[in-house]
Amino acid sequence: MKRSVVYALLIGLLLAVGIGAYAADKTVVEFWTTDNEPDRVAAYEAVAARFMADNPGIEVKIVPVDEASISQRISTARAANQLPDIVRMGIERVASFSADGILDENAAEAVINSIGKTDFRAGPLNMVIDPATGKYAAVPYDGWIQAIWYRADLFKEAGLTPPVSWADINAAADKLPGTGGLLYALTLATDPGQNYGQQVFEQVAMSNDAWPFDEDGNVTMNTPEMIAALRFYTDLQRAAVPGPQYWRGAREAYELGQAGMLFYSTYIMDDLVEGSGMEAGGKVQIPIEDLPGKTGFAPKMVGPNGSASYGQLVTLGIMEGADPAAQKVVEYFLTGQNYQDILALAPFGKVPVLKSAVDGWKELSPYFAHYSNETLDQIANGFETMQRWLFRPGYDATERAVIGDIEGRKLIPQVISNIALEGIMTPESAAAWLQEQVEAMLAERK
Amino acid sequence: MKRGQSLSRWNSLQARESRLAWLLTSPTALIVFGLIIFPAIFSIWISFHDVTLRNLNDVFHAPFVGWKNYVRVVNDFAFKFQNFRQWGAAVTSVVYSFASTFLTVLIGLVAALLLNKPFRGRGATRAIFLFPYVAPIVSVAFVWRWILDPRPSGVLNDVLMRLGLIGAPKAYLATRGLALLIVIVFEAWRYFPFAMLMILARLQAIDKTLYEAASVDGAGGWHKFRFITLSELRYVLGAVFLLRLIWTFNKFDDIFLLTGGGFGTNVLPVLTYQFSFGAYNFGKGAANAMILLTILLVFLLVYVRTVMRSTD
Amino acid sequence: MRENVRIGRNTSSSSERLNLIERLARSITWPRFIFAVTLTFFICSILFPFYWMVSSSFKSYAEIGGRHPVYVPGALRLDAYRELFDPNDPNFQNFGRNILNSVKVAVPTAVIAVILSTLGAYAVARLRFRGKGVLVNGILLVYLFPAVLLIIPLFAVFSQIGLKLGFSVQDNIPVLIITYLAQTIPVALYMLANYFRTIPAEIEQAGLIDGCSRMGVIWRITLPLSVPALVSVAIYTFMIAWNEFLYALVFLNSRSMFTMPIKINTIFNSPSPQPHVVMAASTVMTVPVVILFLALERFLEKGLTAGGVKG
Repeated sequence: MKRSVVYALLIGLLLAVGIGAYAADKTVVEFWTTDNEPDRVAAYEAVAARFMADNPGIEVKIVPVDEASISQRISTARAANQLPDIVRMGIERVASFSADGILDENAAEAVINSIGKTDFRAGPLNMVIDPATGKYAAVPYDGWIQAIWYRADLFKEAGLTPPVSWADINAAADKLPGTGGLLYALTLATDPGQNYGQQVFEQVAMSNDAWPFDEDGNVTMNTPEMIAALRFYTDLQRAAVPGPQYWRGAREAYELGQAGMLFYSTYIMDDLVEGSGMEAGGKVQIPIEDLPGKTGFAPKMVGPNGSASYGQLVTLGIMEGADPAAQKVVEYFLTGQNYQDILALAPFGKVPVLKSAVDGWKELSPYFAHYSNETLDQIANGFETMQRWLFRPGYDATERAVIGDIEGRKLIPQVISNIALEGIMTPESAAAWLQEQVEAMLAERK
Repeated sequence: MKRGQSLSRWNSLQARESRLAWLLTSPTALIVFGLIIFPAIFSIWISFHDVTLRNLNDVFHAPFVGWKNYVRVVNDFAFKFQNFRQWGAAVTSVVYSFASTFLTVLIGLVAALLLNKPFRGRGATRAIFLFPYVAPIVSVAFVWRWILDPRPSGVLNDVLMRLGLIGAPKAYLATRGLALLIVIVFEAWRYFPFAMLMILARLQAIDKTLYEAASVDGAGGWHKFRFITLSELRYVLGAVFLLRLIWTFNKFDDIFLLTGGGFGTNVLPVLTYQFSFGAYNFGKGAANAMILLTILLVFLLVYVRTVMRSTD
Repeated sequence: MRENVRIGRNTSSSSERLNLIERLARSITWPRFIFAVTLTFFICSILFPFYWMVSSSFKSYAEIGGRHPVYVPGALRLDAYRELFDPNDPNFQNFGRNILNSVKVAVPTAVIAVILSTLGAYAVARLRFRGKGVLVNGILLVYLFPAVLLIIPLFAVFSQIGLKLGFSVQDNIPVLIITYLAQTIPVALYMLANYFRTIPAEIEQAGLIDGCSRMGVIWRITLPLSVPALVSVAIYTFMIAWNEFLYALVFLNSRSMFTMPIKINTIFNSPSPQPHVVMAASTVMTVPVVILFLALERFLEKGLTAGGVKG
């Protein structure tokens, strides 16, 4: 081979790199969404197409992303200085990201003001405030509340009161297995790799007034309240489905009539009617007639030291360095029919944050007819009563970031698995261990 | 006079040779340096600085923190050895790498011995033996997960229940201890063909007359194996063990896809990923990786000094 | 006399029978038995997962979700394949796109890797130059660095370059190819250098004396003699690029750019997963590599190991 050929190859290599070049001059708004099923992405793209028709010159790129890989993708995008413009994210990420300074808060403020603060429910707005700056860190979008869904018919049969207080739940755990063909009372969140455990346990902890920090900023994981919460929850394994479980196993067990209770979000409501998708593919063939009609809904848990309900708020975060056009896009997605189109993807799991959207939302699914008006109203207003460790008034940005870390490192699910499944920790030793870890995390953040 | 002339000619030949050599190797050197050496050095730098999501796009101005990241890593609950139930990623990495490499080489040796002498269908068998190695990790990992599925629809559970060996389905990949064993077996299953190929090549090159001479002297089969086969193979066994150890120590995909690092199978590469992308602490992740590298280097030095020297 | 004949016949037939049994008994010796058992064990434990993968790809939803695993699917159903390839299927995955992406990545990687490692290996095997020692001894040391470590700095460095030169780092196939080259060239160079050394230098000397340039020698003499090694390197590199997971996971963001491993991972992790689709996609991904290896298998042993580990 001649020398010139070698040179040509080298140049060719460099050219190839260049050919992959991206003309970085268009106004492209990159929108990452975790609603990544093909039909959901299609809905987003339809709304985006309408936006682009109204706004030639702005291209909206919808990028579906796995929930699990968001952290990694944001990190690498950050390293490359190529953060997307809009990211659909849960409120726990907002806390971490705003503490790390990668959210454009001014943009969020602008959008919220443009839509009108009064149209937003107060709860969601309060949740997105960055305590360090007092500004809104992201734009609330939709959310869900968590509840214990239970077989009201079998509860009546067994003479049980609805599972609201710890005493009720314990009584149900003892009486349900064996009633009406049930094998188990419920399914615990015992898979250490899933954050379902964090979501469920938080409600249990809060219902006993157990929080990660006190008003002075001390770590309060190793407290009698926390230990009691751990003990209460993990003791329920005596009547729960064996093996490492998370939300999928929990809902399958409930739908197949094996378990009598289920901790789940409102996402379950349409699944109870037509059967949810199974791990093994296909849908659960629900053997029980009129399961929705037989299902009761208990969003509030009452513990020895308080009461709590839990939920999730999903926001659209505008990232630092985003194109100003991104604000227009976010506003567009929250307006009128566009908003309804996105909510329609999973109306039970996407409760609107705008008061003006509630009526339209109630029309979005025929399944709504299966549930009582009272239930529906409770759901629509869920944002007002919802609590999270993240939102204890008085927590500053660092504490919220640490709570985000607790969730990110799956401390709670690991602890639950260790106690309930493997028996290598006790509630006391677990609380001590949690104390140690959270103190270390706090030190790292400072 | 003549010597002077030939010297200068030699010089220019040598010089031309050198230039050509540089030309030929420069693309490779450039790629390897740019994509491996430089990022590696950069990682070392990162491990001594505080790099989080906040300053990731502006790394060069990150604050210097000395050994703090290393201290944090060594004290981290996921890293250090706590008790006999929770080994921590460091110990698990070492145990996992050594055990699976040893098993890989062993099985590779057995497979090579099987294929050494001709038999009908040897070619096809050798081809089949390569399957676990050439198949994509994604596919084999998911297949194994399905086979080990904790529900009654998992193959292993079904077989064991039908044989009456267990009463209820078990979660194999979710049992501390057992999960690590399974992962070790998986590694050996997947990588033994590599060992087999290397060993087989050497095996086939062994002089047959050595065996004949030994037979004449009255040596039995096992004797011949121990003193001829094994001693001829010492170098290749050592080399294969070393290579596979390094590769296994650094492996991320396999455990990540099989267990995600849960139930006692967390190893240092997966922990690096968790520090970097789970806790957004890239300094800590880099420090963790540096510790991984150091362990490997120490072993490499010891190994080369003792095992490799003695075989020459 | 008749008796003798009878006795004779009896003796011969019974001795025939004896010989048969004797022969059988003698052929089932301990070594052979162990050999057969071990061989069977190997083949079964290797082939079963692959059998499961392929057979599951033809199962229906009912066969997958049942209480017991179905070992032999009732019929060869194409449901899973339809989800992958049929645009009319409600769950269409557009897997063809991913296959194309994988090809676009693996083929150039293999080609360029062979070219570059050939050049480098020739230099290492035949030429003297400063830094040769470093290259020879150090080239394999690059494998000491875990991939997980290199990702963040690589990303940061590449994006700075990308900003200056105007290309994007993510969703950029040439960038991915270069990272694969970095992973494969060292070992390819090592293997080829070992192989080149087994080619007697006299042949090349003859070419040089006849007036060939070095490049000419490489092209006309060395390469034709090294076909087994070149093929091995090409296949090996292709396989690594085809199967690679971590870098593709990090560098590829948009669905349409995913290579097959990442797409399979996405299907596996989707909220309502379909394991038979995962298996079908895995089958589609595994078959080409396996066929490639089988077809060119005879080159492998010669190429990979000649001169390499002879002691």
